[in-house]
Amino acid sequence: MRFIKVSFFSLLVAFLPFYLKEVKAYVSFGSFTPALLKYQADSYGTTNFLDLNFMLGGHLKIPLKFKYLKNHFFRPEVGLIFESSEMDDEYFRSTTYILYSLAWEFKRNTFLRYGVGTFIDRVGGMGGSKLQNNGSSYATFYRPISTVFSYTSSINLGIEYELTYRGLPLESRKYRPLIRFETFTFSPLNSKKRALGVSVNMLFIPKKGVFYD
Amino acid sequence: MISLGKVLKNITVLGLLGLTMTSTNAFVLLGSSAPPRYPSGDIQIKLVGNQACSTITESTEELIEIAREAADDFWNTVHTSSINLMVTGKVSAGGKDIADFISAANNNIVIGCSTDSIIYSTSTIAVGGYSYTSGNLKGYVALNDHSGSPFPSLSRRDKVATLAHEIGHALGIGHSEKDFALMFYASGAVYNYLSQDDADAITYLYPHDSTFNGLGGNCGSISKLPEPYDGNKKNSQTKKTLIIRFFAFIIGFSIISSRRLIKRLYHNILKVRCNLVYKLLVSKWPSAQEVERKA
Repeated sequence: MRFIKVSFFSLLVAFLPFYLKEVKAYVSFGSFTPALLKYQADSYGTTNFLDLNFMLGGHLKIPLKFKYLKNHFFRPEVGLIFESSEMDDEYFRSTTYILYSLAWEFKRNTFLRYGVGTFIDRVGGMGGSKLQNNGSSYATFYRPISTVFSYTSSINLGIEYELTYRGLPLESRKYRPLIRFETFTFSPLNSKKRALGVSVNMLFIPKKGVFYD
Repeated sequence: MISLGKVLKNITVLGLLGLTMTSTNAFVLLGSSAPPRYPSGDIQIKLVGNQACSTITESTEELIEIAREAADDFWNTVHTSSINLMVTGKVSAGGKDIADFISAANNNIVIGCSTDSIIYSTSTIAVGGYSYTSGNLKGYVALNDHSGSPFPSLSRRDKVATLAHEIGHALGIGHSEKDFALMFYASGAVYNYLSQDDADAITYLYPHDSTFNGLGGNCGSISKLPEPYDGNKKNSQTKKTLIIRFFAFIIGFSIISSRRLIKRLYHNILKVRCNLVYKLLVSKWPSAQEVERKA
Protein backbone atom coordinates (compact mmCIF):
# COMPACT_ATOMS: atom_id res chain seq x y z
CA MET A 1 0.00 0.00 0.00
CA ARG A 2 2.80 2.36 0.91
CA PHE A 3 4.32 1.68 -2.51
CA ILE A 4 1.06 2.62 -4.27
CA LYS A 5 0.76 5.80 -2.21
CA VAL A 6 4.35 6.84 -2.87
CA SER A 7 4.01 6.06 -6.59
CA PHE A 8 0.81 8.08 -6.88
CA PHE A 9 2.23 11.16 -5.21
CA SER A 10 5.54 10.84 -7.09
CA LEU A 11 3.65 10.77 -10.38
CA LEU A 12 1.58 13.76 -9.34
CA VAL A 13 4.64 15.74 -8.27
CA ALA A 14 6.55 14.71 -11.40
CA PHE A 15 3.79 15.68 -13.83
CA LEU A 16 2.57 18.84 -12.17
CA PRO A 17 5.52 21.10 -13.17
CA PHE A 18 4.93 20.35 -16.88
CA TYR A 19 1.39 21.60 -16.62
CA LEU A 20 1.89 24.32 -14.05
CA LYS A 21 1.54 27.12 -16.52
CA GLU A 22 -1.84 25.81 -17.64
CA VAL A 23 -3.04 24.99 -14.16
CA LYS A 24 -5.89 27.08 -12.85
CA ALA A 25 -6.66 27.30 -9.16
CA TYR A 26 -10.19 27.56 -7.88
CA VAL A 27 -11.75 28.55 -4.62
CA SER A 28 -15.16 27.14 -3.72
CA PHE A 29 -17.71 27.43 -0.96
CA GLY A 30 -21.06 25.80 -0.40
CA SER A 31 -23.11 23.46 1.68
CA PHE A 32 -22.45 19.80 2.45
CA THR A 33 -24.78 17.08 3.73
CA PRO A 34 -22.61 14.19 4.98
CA ALA A 35 -25.31 11.50 5.07
CA LEU A 36 -28.60 12.18 3.36
CA LEU A 37 -31.66 10.62 5.12
CA LYS A 38 -29.49 8.56 7.45
CA TYR A 39 -29.50 10.07 10.94
CA GLN A 40 -32.46 10.86 13.13
CA ALA A 41 -33.20 14.55 13.37
CA ASP A 42 -36.16 14.77 15.78
CA SER A 43 -38.21 12.87 18.36
CA TYR A 44 -40.69 11.65 15.73
CA GLY A 45 -38.16 9.39 14.04
CA THR A 46 -37.69 11.39 10.87
CA THR A 47 -34.28 11.64 9.27
CA ASN A 48 -32.12 14.57 8.31
CA PHE A 49 -32.63 15.89 4.81
CA LEU A 50 -30.29 18.67 3.78
CA ASP A 51 -27.82 19.85 6.41
CA LEU A 52 -26.28 23.26 6.07
CA ASN A 53 -22.65 22.53 6.78
CA PHE A 54 -20.41 25.19 5.33
CA MET A 55 -17.62 23.82 3.15
CA LEU A 56 -14.63 25.62 1.79
CA GLY A 57 -12.26 24.16 -0.76
CA GLY A 58 -9.28 24.83 -2.96
CA HIS A 59 -9.03 23.16 -6.37
CA LEU A 60 -6.65 22.79 -9.24
CA LYS A 61 -7.58 22.31 -12.88
CA ILE A 62 -4.90 20.40 -14.72
CA PRO A 63 -5.53 19.60 -18.39
CA LEU A 64 -4.81 16.02 -19.45
CA LYS A 65 -2.98 15.89 -22.74
CA PHE A 66 -3.76 12.30 -23.66
CA LYS A 67 -5.38 11.48 -26.96
CA TYR A 68 -8.20 9.43 -25.44
CA LEU A 69 -8.89 11.84 -22.63
CA LYS A 70 -9.65 14.88 -24.73
CA ASN A 71 -11.56 17.58 -22.85
CA HIS A 72 -10.67 15.92 -19.56
CA PHE A 73 -9.13 17.73 -16.62
CA PHE A 74 -7.62 16.41 -13.44
CA ARG A 75 -9.33 18.30 -10.64
CA PRO A 76 -7.78 17.54 -7.24
CA GLU A 77 -9.44 19.35 -4.37
CA VAL A 78 -8.68 19.90 -0.70
CA GLY A 79 -11.09 21.48 1.73
CA LEU A 80 -12.76 21.71 5.08
CA ILE A 81 -16.31 21.15 6.23
CA PHE A 82 -17.52 23.09 9.24
CA GLU A 83 -20.33 21.52 11.26
CA SER A 84 -23.08 24.06 11.71
CA SER A 85 -25.25 22.12 14.20
CA GLU A 86 -25.77 23.32 17.75
CA MET A 87 -22.54 24.67 19.13
CA ASP A 88 -21.18 23.98 22.59
CA ASP A 89 -17.81 23.17 24.05
CA GLU A 90 -18.41 19.50 24.87
CA TYR A 91 -16.49 18.09 21.93
CA PHE A 92 -15.44 19.08 18.46
CA ARG A 93 -15.88 17.61 15.03
CA SER A 94 -14.61 18.78 11.69
CA THR A 95 -14.01 17.12 8.35
CA THR A 96 -11.16 17.56 5.94
CA TYR A 97 -11.64 16.18 2.47
CA ILE A 98 -9.36 15.35 -0.42
CA LEU A 99 -10.92 14.61 -3.79
CA TYR A 100 -9.11 13.00 -6.70
CA SER A 101 -11.65 13.86 -9.36
CA LEU A 102 -11.65 14.14 -13.12
CA ALA A 103 -13.84 16.57 -15.01
CA TRP A 104 -15.03 15.93 -18.55
CA GLU A 105 -16.23 18.92 -20.53
CA PHE A 106 -18.81 16.99 -22.51
CA LYS A 107 -20.63 20.16 -23.53
CA ARG A 108 -19.39 23.70 -23.72
CA ASN A 109 -19.08 25.11 -20.18
CA THR A 110 -20.60 21.95 -18.68
CA PHE A 111 -18.46 19.43 -16.84
CA LEU A 112 -19.17 15.92 -15.59
CA ARG A 113 -17.14 15.25 -12.47
CA TYR A 114 -16.20 11.74 -11.40
CA GLY A 115 -13.58 10.19 -9.17
CA VAL A 116 -12.80 9.09 -5.66
CA GLY A 117 -12.26 10.96 -2.44
CA THR A 118 -11.15 10.69 1.16
CA PHE A 119 -13.00 12.27 4.05
CA ILE A 120 -11.08 12.60 7.29
CA ASP A 121 -13.43 13.10 10.22
CA ARG A 122 -11.80 14.55 13.28
CA VAL A 123 -13.62 13.86 16.55
CA GLY A 124 -12.28 14.72 19.98
CA GLY A 125 -12.63 16.72 23.14
CA MET A 126 -10.82 18.41 25.94
CA GLY A 127 -11.71 15.86 28.64
CA GLY A 128 -13.36 16.38 32.00
CA SER A 129 -16.36 14.87 33.73
CA LYS A 130 -20.03 15.72 33.62
CA LEU A 131 -22.91 14.97 35.97
CA GLN A 132 -25.82 13.81 33.89
CA ASN A 133 -29.24 12.23 34.29
CA ASN A 134 -28.98 8.46 34.44
CA GLY A 135 -32.67 7.59 34.58
CA SER A 136 -33.55 7.32 38.26
CA SER A 137 -30.50 9.24 39.51
CA TYR A 138 -27.55 11.33 38.33
CA ALA A 139 -24.21 9.80 37.39
CA THR A 140 -20.78 11.02 36.34
CA PHE A 141 -19.89 10.62 32.68
CA TYR A 142 -16.70 11.61 30.88
CA ARG A 143 -16.06 13.79 27.88
CA PRO A 144 -13.66 12.56 25.18
CA ILE A 145 -10.10 13.57 25.93
CA SER A 146 -8.09 12.77 22.81
CA THR A 147 -8.57 13.46 19.10
CA VAL A 148 -9.40 10.67 16.70
CA PHE A 149 -9.23 10.70 12.90
CA SER A 150 -11.53 8.47 10.89
CA TYR A 151 -10.81 7.94 7.19
CA THR A 152 -13.73 7.27 4.88
CA SER A 153 -13.51 6.79 1.15
CA SER A 154 -16.12 7.89 -1.36
CA ILE A 155 -17.06 7.58 -5.00
CA ASN A 156 -17.94 10.98 -6.42
CA LEU A 157 -20.21 11.96 -9.25
CA GLY A 158 -21.26 15.49 -10.03
CA ILE A 159 -22.04 18.13 -12.56
CA GLU A 160 -20.57 21.58 -12.91
CA TYR A 161 -21.67 24.50 -15.00
CA GLU A 162 -19.64 27.54 -15.85
CA LEU A 163 -21.76 30.67 -15.75
CA THR A 164 -20.98 32.81 -18.72
CA TYR A 165 -23.88 35.21 -18.73
CA ARG A 166 -23.07 38.85 -18.58
CA GLY A 167 -24.59 40.96 -15.86
CA LEU A 168 -24.70 38.25 -13.18
CA PRO A 169 -24.15 39.61 -9.68
CA LEU A 170 -21.16 37.36 -9.17
CA GLU A 171 -19.59 38.14 -12.52
CA SER A 172 -16.49 40.22 -12.07
CA ARG A 173 -13.39 41.22 -13.93
CA LYS A 174 -11.21 38.98 -11.82
CA TYR A 175 -13.33 35.84 -11.36
CA ARG A 176 -15.73 33.73 -13.35
CA PRO A 177 -18.34 31.82 -11.29
CA LEU A 178 -19.27 28.15 -11.64
CA ILE A 179 -22.03 26.20 -9.95
CA ARG A 180 -21.59 22.57 -8.90
CA PHE A 181 -23.78 19.76 -7.61
CA GLU A 182 -21.97 16.64 -6.45
CA THR A 183 -22.84 13.35 -4.74
CA PHE A 184 -20.51 11.23 -2.62
CA THR A 185 -21.23 7.54 -2.02
CA PHE A 186 -19.58 6.26 1.14
CA SER A 187 -19.01 2.54 1.82
CA PRO A 188 -20.60 1.57 -1.52
CA LEU A 189 -20.12 -2.19 -1.02
CA ASN A 190 -21.67 -2.33 2.44
CA SER A 191 -25.46 -2.18 2.35
CA LYS A 192 -25.73 -1.30 6.05
CA LYS A 193 -23.13 1.44 6.17
CA ARG A 194 -23.75 2.91 2.72
CA ALA A 195 -24.37 6.65 2.86
CA LEU A 196 -24.94 9.40 0.34
CA GLY A 197 -23.39 12.80 0.80
CA VAL A 198 -24.50 15.78 -1.24
CA SER A 199 -22.85 19.11 -1.86
CA VAL A 200 -23.94 22.28 -3.64
CA ASN A 201 -21.08 24.64 -4.34
CA MET A 202 -20.20 27.89 -5.92
CA LEU A 203 -16.75 28.00 -7.49
CA PHE A 204 -14.68 30.91 -8.65
CA ILE A 205 -12.07 30.60 -11.33
CA PRO A 206 -9.66 33.50 -11.52
CA LYS A 207 -9.25 34.88 -15.01
CA LYS A 208 -5.61 35.73 -14.41
CA GLY A 209 -4.60 32.64 -12.45
CA VAL A 210 -3.69 32.41 -8.81
CA PHE A 211 -0.08 31.37 -9.04
CA TYR A 212 0.84 33.15 -12.26
CA ASP A 213 0.03 36.70 -13.28
CA MET B 1 5.72 35.51 -13.80
CA ILE B 2 5.33 33.68 -10.53
CA SER B 3 3.95 35.66 -7.65
CA LEU B 4 5.66 34.53 -4.46
CA GLY B 5 3.41 36.72 -2.34
CA LYS B 6 0.31 35.01 -3.70
CA VAL B 7 1.77 31.57 -3.07
CA LEU B 8 2.66 32.45 0.53
CA LYS B 9 -0.77 33.98 1.07
CA ASN B 10 -2.50 30.82 -0.15
CA ILE B 11 -0.32 28.56 1.99
CA THR B 12 -1.00 30.68 5.08
CA VAL B 13 -4.76 30.64 4.50
CA LEU B 14 -4.77 26.85 4.04
CA GLY B 15 -2.65 26.37 7.17
CA LEU B 16 -4.95 28.55 9.26
CA LEU B 17 -7.98 26.71 7.99
CA GLY B 18 -6.39 23.40 8.92
CA LEU B 19 -6.09 24.54 12.50
CA THR B 20 -9.73 25.55 12.74
CA MET B 21 -12.01 23.37 14.82
CA THR B 22 -15.74 23.54 15.35
CA SER B 23 -18.03 22.24 18.07
CA THR B 24 -21.28 20.36 17.85
CA ASN B 25 -23.55 18.06 19.98
CA ALA B 26 -22.47 16.40 23.23
CA PHE B 27 -21.75 12.69 23.57
CA VAL B 28 -20.09 11.41 26.75
CA LEU B 29 -18.37 8.17 27.71
CA LEU B 30 -18.61 5.75 30.61
CA GLY B 31 -14.84 5.45 30.98
CA SER B 32 -12.59 8.26 32.12
CA SER B 33 -9.44 9.61 30.41
CA ALA B 34 -8.62 6.64 28.16
CA PRO B 35 -11.81 4.69 27.42
CA PRO B 36 -11.21 0.95 27.02
CA ARG B 37 -11.93 -0.44 23.58
CA TYR B 38 -12.51 -3.96 22.26
CA PRO B 39 -9.55 -5.38 20.30
CA SER B 40 -11.16 -4.37 16.99
CA GLY B 41 -14.39 -3.00 15.56
CA ASP B 42 -15.56 -6.58 14.87
CA ILE B 43 -17.29 -7.26 18.18
CA GLN B 44 -19.19 -10.43 18.97
CA ILE B 45 -22.48 -10.37 20.85
CA LYS B 46 -23.64 -13.57 22.56
CA LEU B 47 -26.90 -14.40 24.29
CA VAL B 48 -27.03 -16.39 27.52
CA GLY B 49 -28.55 -19.62 26.28
CA ASN B 50 -28.60 -21.94 29.26
CA GLN B 51 -31.20 -20.07 31.33
CA ALA B 52 -34.84 -19.51 30.49
CA CYS B 53 -36.27 -16.05 31.09
CA SER B 54 -39.13 -16.08 33.57
CA THR B 55 -40.94 -12.74 33.09
CA ILE B 56 -39.61 -11.93 29.63
CA THR B 57 -41.62 -14.02 27.22
CA GLU B 58 -39.18 -14.11 24.30
CA SER B 59 -37.14 -17.25 23.73
CA THR B 60 -33.34 -17.05 23.39
CA GLU B 61 -33.72 -17.35 19.59
CA GLU B 62 -36.15 -14.43 19.52
CA LEU B 63 -33.81 -12.36 21.68
CA ILE B 64 -30.99 -13.21 19.25
CA GLU B 65 -33.12 -11.82 16.42
CA ILE B 66 -33.87 -8.63 18.39
CA ALA B 67 -30.16 -8.22 19.18
CA ARG B 68 -29.31 -8.70 15.49
CA GLU B 69 -31.80 -6.01 14.51
CA ALA B 70 -30.41 -3.70 17.21
CA ALA B 71 -26.90 -4.13 15.82
CA ASP B 72 -27.81 -3.85 12.14
CA ASP B 73 -30.41 -1.08 12.32
CA PHE B 74 -28.39 1.17 14.61
CA TRP B 75 -24.68 0.72 15.34
CA ASN B 76 -23.64 -1.07 12.14
CA THR B 77 -24.97 1.77 9.99
CA VAL B 78 -22.32 4.37 10.82
CA HIS B 79 -20.18 4.81 7.71
CA THR B 80 -17.49 6.81 9.52
CA SER B 81 -16.85 4.01 12.01
CA SER B 82 -15.25 0.57 11.70
CA ILE B 83 -17.77 -0.94 14.13
CA ASN B 84 -19.21 -4.27 13.01
CA LEU B 85 -21.32 -5.93 15.68
CA MET B 86 -21.97 -9.61 15.04
CA VAL B 87 -24.54 -11.64 16.95
CA THR B 88 -22.84 -15.01 16.89
CA GLY B 89 -25.00 -17.24 19.08
CA LYS B 90 -25.23 -18.44 22.66
CA VAL B 91 -22.98 -18.60 25.69
CA SER B 92 -23.38 -20.29 29.09
CA ALA B 93 -23.49 -18.23 32.28
CA GLY B 94 -23.29 -19.40 35.90
CA GLY B 95 -26.35 -17.47 37.06
CA LYS B 96 -28.68 -14.57 36.33
CA ASP B 97 -26.60 -11.85 37.99
CA ILE B 98 -24.60 -9.23 36.10
CA ALA B 99 -21.41 -10.70 37.60
CA ASP B 100 -22.24 -14.03 35.91
CA PHE B 101 -22.61 -12.29 32.53
CA ILE B 102 -19.26 -10.55 33.04
CA SER B 103 -17.63 -13.90 33.83
CA ALA B 104 -19.07 -15.37 30.63
CA ALA B 105 -17.74 -12.52 28.45
CA ASN B 106 -14.28 -12.43 26.89
CA ASN B 107 -13.64 -9.27 24.85
CA ASN B 108 -17.23 -9.43 23.70
CA ILE B 109 -20.74 -8.50 24.84
CA VAL B 110 -23.08 -10.90 26.66
CA ILE B 111 -26.84 -10.31 26.77
CA GLY B 112 -29.19 -12.12 29.14
CA CYS B 113 -32.31 -11.98 31.28
CA SER B 114 -31.26 -10.93 34.76
CA THR B 115 -32.65 -10.90 38.28
CA ASP B 116 -29.77 -8.80 39.61
CA SER B 117 -30.71 -6.52 42.51
CA ILE B 118 -29.51 -3.46 40.51
CA ILE B 119 -32.48 -3.72 38.15
CA TYR B 120 -35.15 -4.52 40.71
CA SER B 121 -37.02 -1.29 40.00
CA THR B 122 -40.11 -1.69 37.81
CA SER B 123 -39.11 1.47 35.92
CA THR B 124 -35.81 -0.04 34.76
CA ILE B 125 -36.11 -1.93 31.49
CA ALA B 126 -32.49 -3.04 31.21
CA VAL B 127 -28.95 -2.02 32.10
CA GLY B 128 -25.73 -2.14 30.12
CA GLY B 129 -22.07 -1.57 30.85
CA TYR B 130 -18.68 -3.21 30.90
CA SER B 131 -15.91 -4.44 33.14
CA TYR B 132 -12.29 -3.95 32.12
CA THR B 133 -9.47 -5.98 33.63
CA SER B 134 -5.99 -6.57 32.20
CA GLY B 135 -6.77 -6.11 28.53
CA ASN B 136 -10.06 -7.99 28.62
CA LEU B 137 -13.12 -5.84 28.02
CA LYS B 138 -16.29 -7.61 29.10
CA GLY B 139 -19.54 -5.98 28.01
CA TYR B 140 -22.95 -6.93 29.36
CA VAL B 141 -26.60 -6.17 28.80
CA ALA B 142 -28.98 -7.32 31.55
CA LEU B 143 -32.70 -7.33 30.72
CA ASN B 144 -34.93 -6.87 33.75
CA ASP B 145 -36.51 -10.30 34.38
CA HIS B 146 -38.09 -9.50 37.74
CA SER B 147 -41.84 -9.81 38.02
CA GLY B 148 -43.33 -6.47 36.96
CA SER B 149 -40.53 -5.85 34.44
CA PRO B 150 -41.59 -3.27 31.84
CA PHE B 151 -39.71 -5.09 29.02
CA PRO B 152 -42.53 -7.49 27.94
CA SER B 153 -45.01 -4.63 27.45
CA LEU B 154 -42.77 -2.81 24.96
CA SER B 155 -43.44 -2.86 21.24
CA ARG B 156 -41.06 -4.83 19.05
CA ARG B 157 -39.41 -1.62 17.81
CA ASP B 158 -38.92 -0.32 21.36
CA LYS B 159 -37.36 -3.63 22.39
CA VAL B 160 -34.89 -3.32 19.52
CA ALA B 161 -34.12 0.32 20.45
CA THR B 162 -33.73 -0.59 24.15
CA LEU B 163 -31.27 -3.35 23.35
CA ALA B 164 -29.37 -1.02 20.99
CA HIS B 165 -29.19 1.62 23.77
CA GLU B 166 -27.79 -0.90 26.26
CA ILE B 167 -25.33 -2.25 23.68
CA GLY B 168 -24.19 1.38 23.37
CA HIS B 169 -23.37 1.34 27.10
CA ALA B 170 -21.56 -2.00 26.71
CA LEU B 171 -19.47 -0.30 24.01
CA GLY B 172 -18.57 2.49 26.45
CA ILE B 173 -20.95 5.30 25.46
CA GLY B 174 -22.69 7.37 28.13
CA HIS B 175 -26.00 9.21 28.03
CA SER B 176 -26.68 11.97 25.55
CA GLU B 177 -28.49 15.25 26.21
CA LYS B 178 -30.33 15.09 22.91
CA ASP B 179 -33.86 13.83 23.50
CA PHE B 180 -33.96 12.15 20.08
CA ALA B 181 -30.56 10.47 20.42
CA LEU B 182 -30.56 6.72 20.97
CA MET B 183 -28.34 7.26 24.02
CA PHE B 184 -30.79 9.68 25.69
CA TYR B 185 -31.41 8.50 29.28
CA ALA B 186 -35.19 8.15 29.00
CA SER B 187 -37.54 6.56 26.50
CA GLY B 188 -40.39 8.44 24.89
CA ALA B 189 -39.18 9.39 21.43
CA VAL B 190 -39.54 7.23 18.33
CA TYR B 191 -36.12 5.69 17.73
CA ASN B 192 -35.77 4.61 14.13
CA TYR B 193 -32.18 5.64 13.45
CA LEU B 194 -29.05 6.75 15.23
CA SER B 195 -28.59 10.47 15.74
CA GLN B 196 -25.47 12.33 14.65
CA ASP B 197 -24.47 12.46 18.32
CA ASP B 198 -24.53 8.64 18.64
CA ALA B 199 -22.68 8.29 15.34
CA ASP B 200 -19.94 10.65 16.54
CA ALA B 201 -19.55 8.67 19.77
CA ILE B 202 -19.04 5.37 17.96
CA THR B 203 -16.74 7.06 15.43
CA TYR B 204 -14.66 8.35 18.33
CA LEU B 205 -14.37 4.87 19.86
CA TYR B 206 -13.95 2.89 16.61
CA PRO B 207 -12.68 5.10 13.76
CA HIS B 208 -11.77 3.83 10.30
CA ASP B 209 -8.06 3.38 9.75
CA SER B 210 -6.04 5.36 7.23
CA THR B 211 -5.29 2.46 4.86
CA PHE B 212 -4.43 4.03 1.50
CA ASN B 213 -5.66 7.39 2.79
CA GLY B 214 -9.05 5.89 3.45
CA LEU B 215 -9.34 4.60 -0.10
CA GLY B 216 -8.75 0.99 0.90
CA GLY B 217 -10.02 -1.40 3.53
CA ASN B 218 -13.34 0.24 4.29
CA CYS B 219 -15.30 0.10 1.10
CA GLY B 220 -17.61 -2.66 2.20
CA SER B 221 -17.97 -6.19 3.37
CA ILE B 222 -14.53 -7.39 2.26
CA SER B 223 -12.08 -6.49 4.98
CA LYS B 224 -8.95 -7.93 6.50
CA LEU B 225 -8.86 -8.89 10.19
CA PRO B 226 -7.83 -5.71 11.97
CA GLU B 227 -4.97 -5.57 14.43
CA PRO B 228 -5.74 -5.16 18.15
CA TYR B 229 -6.74 -1.58 18.82
CA ASP B 230 -4.36 0.68 20.66
CA GLY B 231 -5.96 4.12 20.80
CA ASN B 232 -2.90 6.03 22.01
CA LYS B 233 -0.54 4.43 19.49
CA LYS B 234 -2.99 5.00 16.67
CA ASN B 235 -3.56 8.65 17.57
CA SER B 236 0.13 9.44 17.81
CA GLN B 237 0.81 7.64 14.52
CA THR B 238 -2.03 9.38 12.72
CA LYS B 239 -0.99 12.80 14.03
CA LYS B 240 2.61 12.19 13.04
CA THR B 241 1.62 10.99 9.58
CA LEU B 242 -0.68 13.97 9.04
CA ILE B 243 1.98 16.45 10.14
CA ILE B 244 4.57 14.82 7.84
CA ARG B 245 2.10 14.86 4.93
CA PHE B 246 1.16 18.46 5.56
CA PHE B 247 4.75 19.67 5.58
CA ALA B 248 5.69 17.44 2.64
CA PHE B 249 2.80 18.98 0.70
CA ILE B 250 3.84 22.53 1.57
CA ILE B 251 7.51 21.90 0.77
CA GLY B 252 6.68 20.12 -2.48
CA PHE B 253 4.22 22.79 -3.49
CA SER B 254 6.63 25.60 -2.65
CA ILE B 255 9.42 23.96 -4.65
CA ILE B 256 7.18 23.49 -7.67
CA SER B 257 5.71 26.97 -7.42
CA SER B 258 9.04 28.69 -7.07
CA ARG B 259 10.99 26.62 -9.56
CA ARG B 260 11.63 29.64 -11.79
CA LEU B 261 13.01 31.57 -8.89
CA ILE B 262 15.26 28.66 -7.93
CA LYS B 263 16.36 28.30 -11.55
CA ARG B 264 17.25 31.97 -11.76
CA LEU B 265 19.10 31.90 -8.47
CA TYR B 266 20.92 28.75 -9.47
CA HIS B 267 21.98 30.31 -12.78
CA ASN B 268 23.13 33.49 -11.11
CA ILE B 269 25.12 31.60 -8.48
CA LEU B 270 26.59 29.32 -11.11
CA LYS B 271 27.49 32.27 -13.28
CA VAL B 272 29.15 34.16 -10.41
CA ARG B 273 31.04 31.08 -9.32
CA CYS B 274 32.21 30.29 -12.84
CA ASN B 275 33.42 33.85 -13.29
CA LEU B 276 35.23 33.67 -9.98
CA VAL B 277 36.90 30.36 -10.84
CA TYR B 278 37.80 31.66 -14.30
CA LYS B 279 39.36 34.78 -12.87
CA LEU B 280 41.26 32.84 -10.25
CA LEU B 281 42.61 30.26 -12.67
CA VAL B 282 43.14 32.33 -15.80
CA SER B 283 44.60 35.38 -14.10
CA LYS B 284 47.44 33.27 -12.70
CA TRP B 285 48.37 31.79 -16.06
CA PRO B 286 50.11 34.02 -18.60
CA SER B 287 48.10 34.82 -21.69
CA ALA B 288 49.28 33.84 -25.20
CA GLN B 289 50.37 37.41 -25.94
CA GLU B 290 52.52 37.47 -22.79
CA VAL B 291 54.14 34.16 -23.74
CA GLU B 292 54.92 35.47 -27.24
CA ARG B 293 56.33 38.68 -25.81
CA LYS B 294 58.57 36.74 -23.45
CA ALA B 295 59.74 34.49 -26.25
